[in-house]
Amino acid sequence: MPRKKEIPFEESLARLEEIVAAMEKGDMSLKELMIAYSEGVTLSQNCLKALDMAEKTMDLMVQEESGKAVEKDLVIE
Amino acid sequence: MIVDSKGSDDIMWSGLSCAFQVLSGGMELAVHSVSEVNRYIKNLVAGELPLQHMMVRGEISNFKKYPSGHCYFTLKDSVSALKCVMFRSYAQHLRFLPVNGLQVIAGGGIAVYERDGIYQLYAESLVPEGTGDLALAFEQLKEKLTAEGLFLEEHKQALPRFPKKIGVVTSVAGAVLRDIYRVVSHRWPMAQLVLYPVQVQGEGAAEQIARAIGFFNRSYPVDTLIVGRGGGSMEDLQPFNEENVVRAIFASRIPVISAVGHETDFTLSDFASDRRAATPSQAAELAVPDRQELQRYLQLLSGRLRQVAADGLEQRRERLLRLMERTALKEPQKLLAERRQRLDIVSLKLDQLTKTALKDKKHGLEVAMEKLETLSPIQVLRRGYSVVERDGKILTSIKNAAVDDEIKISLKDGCLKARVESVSGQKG
Repeated sequence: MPRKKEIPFEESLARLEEIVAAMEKGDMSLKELMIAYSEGVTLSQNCLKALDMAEKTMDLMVQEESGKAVEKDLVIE
Repeated sequence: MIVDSKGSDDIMWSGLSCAFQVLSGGMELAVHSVSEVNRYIKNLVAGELPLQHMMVRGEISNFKKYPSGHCYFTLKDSVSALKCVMFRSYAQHLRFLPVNGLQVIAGGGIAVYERDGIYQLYAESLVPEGTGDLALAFEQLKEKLTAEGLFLEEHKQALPRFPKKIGVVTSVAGAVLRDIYRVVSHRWPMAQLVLYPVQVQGEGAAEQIARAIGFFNRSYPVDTLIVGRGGGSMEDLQPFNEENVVRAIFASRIPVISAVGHETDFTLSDFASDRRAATPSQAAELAVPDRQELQRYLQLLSGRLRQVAADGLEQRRERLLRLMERTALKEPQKLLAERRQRLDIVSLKLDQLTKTALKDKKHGLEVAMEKLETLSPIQVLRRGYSVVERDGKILTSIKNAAVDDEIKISLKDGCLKARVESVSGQKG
């Protein structure tokens, strides 16, 4: 399924913070304000979605065996 | 006063001397104030690096603990005594109560107390001698690494806000890993834990821990490292006081959270790490953000976003409304009225001018037409004259006609055809 390239969560959040701060400065034109608002809404929805959908990733155990990293699944409890 | 200044002290001396060398000429010696002398000596001592971090062995005497928490005592041996002070911030970590007569090893630095003109040891650590080599080794290593600057705040790295991978250096068994797992999967489940299992006590533990930290830095990049073990005796915690472990933590380019023991047990690893956690659970809390907290924060952000956009619109709407209240937009006819009046005046003028001009022209035309009328041959005929033509040409002289010529005579109401019977010229 072709999907839009997802921006990493931390970048989205940083961008959202940047947008809100810029908007709060209050020197945007109406057009800029509306563009920023719509981008901000998309970002905040994406961020919230990312948090909602986040699932536990499989943990790993690594060990060095003759200089190489060997990964194993790590099951706790 | 005679000061034997030489070597590097020259610089300091000459720097100070210019300030208080009252009598400089000839044989006379300069006169100094007491505070000048004390300050000079204080600076001399401060310039001696070996005096800044040292261990001193002696017997405690005159021990006094003040309500402020600061401790004052003297260290002495068979021939000599050294004044010591231990401030509350260090004294509170003492694991024993110092008493007079106790043989101890104190760690700290020598400095001059300018007011009293005395030098003393500012002790940062105090270990009863004979309590074991571990405690002594700990204090010695601590002094050494402090002197090297391993524990300086300026070397601390910031932890990443949203780590994807967290390296854990601890035992595969034991509560530490479970505690970290529990907290991370609750707060930030998308983070992956990568355990490098090591022995956390006993022979070889320090080497394994140091190697694990090096391994993550060398060949297995993670965002944050948690290095730790549960609490235990001083002996159990020893690997985290080993120089190689402390240095590995200091050298790590990956930010390290140390999670060794509990609140009261500080290890050198704790001092060298970027953040210290009292427990493994706390280490996990330091390592990852809380998803729910972040959700609330995001909602707050999007609320602000909406608010700012709405405010921006509202401000503009108000400006627009205020503008629309202005005459120009509300009653444009008022602005037009004046112009309309001007237009009226102008067009009236135009009208009049046109009329006058036309009248003039009409009059001229009438005059011309009258003139034309008077000149018209019909008028002439009306007055009783006639016009005689021969072959379509008007006859104006008898010379133009002969007897028997046919002529046409035009009168006011028609014409006659006639024949010339005779031609006679006018007399006279």
